[in-house]
Amino acid sequence: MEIRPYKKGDAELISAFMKRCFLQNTRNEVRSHEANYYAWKYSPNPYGKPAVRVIEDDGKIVGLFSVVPKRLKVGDQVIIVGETGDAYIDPAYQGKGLFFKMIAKAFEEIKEQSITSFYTTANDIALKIWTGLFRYEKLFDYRSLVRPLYLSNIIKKKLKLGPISSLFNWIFLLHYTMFFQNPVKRFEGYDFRKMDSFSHFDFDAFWAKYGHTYFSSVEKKTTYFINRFDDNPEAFHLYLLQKEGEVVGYAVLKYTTCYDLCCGHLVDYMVSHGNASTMKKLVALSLQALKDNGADIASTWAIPNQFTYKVMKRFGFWTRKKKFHIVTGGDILKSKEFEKMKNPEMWSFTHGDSDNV
Amino acid sequence: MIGKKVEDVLKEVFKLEADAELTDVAPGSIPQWDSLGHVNLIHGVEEAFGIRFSVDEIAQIDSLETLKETVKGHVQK
Repeated sequence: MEIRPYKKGDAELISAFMKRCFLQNTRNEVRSHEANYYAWKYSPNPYGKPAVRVIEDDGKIVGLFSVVPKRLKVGDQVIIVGETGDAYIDPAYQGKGLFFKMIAKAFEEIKEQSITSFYTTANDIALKIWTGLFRYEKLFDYRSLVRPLYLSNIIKKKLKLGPISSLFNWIFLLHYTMFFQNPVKRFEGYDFRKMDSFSHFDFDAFWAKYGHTYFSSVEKKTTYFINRFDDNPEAFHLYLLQKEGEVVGYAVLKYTTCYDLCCGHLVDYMVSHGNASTMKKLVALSLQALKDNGADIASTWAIPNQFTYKVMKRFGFWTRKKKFHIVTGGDILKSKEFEKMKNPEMWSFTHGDSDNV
Repeated sequence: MIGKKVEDVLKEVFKLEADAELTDVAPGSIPQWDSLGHVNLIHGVEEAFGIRFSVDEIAQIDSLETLKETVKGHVQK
């Protein structure tokens, strides 16, 4: 058994390991990627070379940890940070001190690239480990949101109630039309256009116009989108919201299978900070696009009390019970901007800012 | 004295008997000493001694003996 750096050829073993960890328990494809996803994620990106350590035993990967470089806007500065993630160890290998050693080795490696600030997303258990052992600090909570799109399909597939499902669907649609914004509604003067490639839009100009309205965000320039979504072997779909010919927002959508249902993810989105009116149009049209493409359920992330969260709730998204946390560690904690970073209302943070989708 | 106090914290955190034998104790030798157990142990020792370990120090702690040494390094400063 050894703790060693990631090498070419590990992607297949890592995919098998992660599927053992997740798919058999949750049947949720979001966290069970194919080998080509790991080959992409662990290749050098425009901001640096990811530091990845694995624990190998008898030809099998039994532990994994990665730090992926990204550019983070903090106030007027942009710094290179490492997104720490994929921290897993096979339960049979827990309690031997391997997990901590593996993580410590990856931190040593990434620090050679002068990357000394880090962030990650964590559930309650991971939060304890990051804050307790690695001295990260919690910035704020975010929530996972879901919304049914085709209740008839959900009832048919999950409850096996074929004939009754149409009745449920009718009641459901009536309920949603009455109490929530109707995503079918069209907006005069607006256009929601699907793009073939992330390289076909000038995100640099969009970021220059709207990025500064947020205090903190992963830097969303064209280079980022091409690496994050075009180079990624999984399929992501870019939609631009235009008002009288000018792009005022974008949405990135993705489809996976969760519990035998087609799940449509609103992976990434941005409008000018605080512009709830534009956000409503973006969400409405994104939901319509997900529905048109056969999604049974819509899923996204949002920060409670932020305008984006309020819009999602208005469109009938349900907040899942489990809380998640954004935590940060390393030199960023000493930054004079750190206290301001704790204000969730000034962040742009989406599911796509974590590489696990 | 310091060593005894660290042992007491460890026994309390991992819910061991007061007279439990603590020779060659390290992650793996006590089932409760996994990642979360490590967090609880570090937290318990920090509380008991009013100290705070750095990440580098935590990385060095891989047994009861190294934990005692690290605590001594702090307390005797």
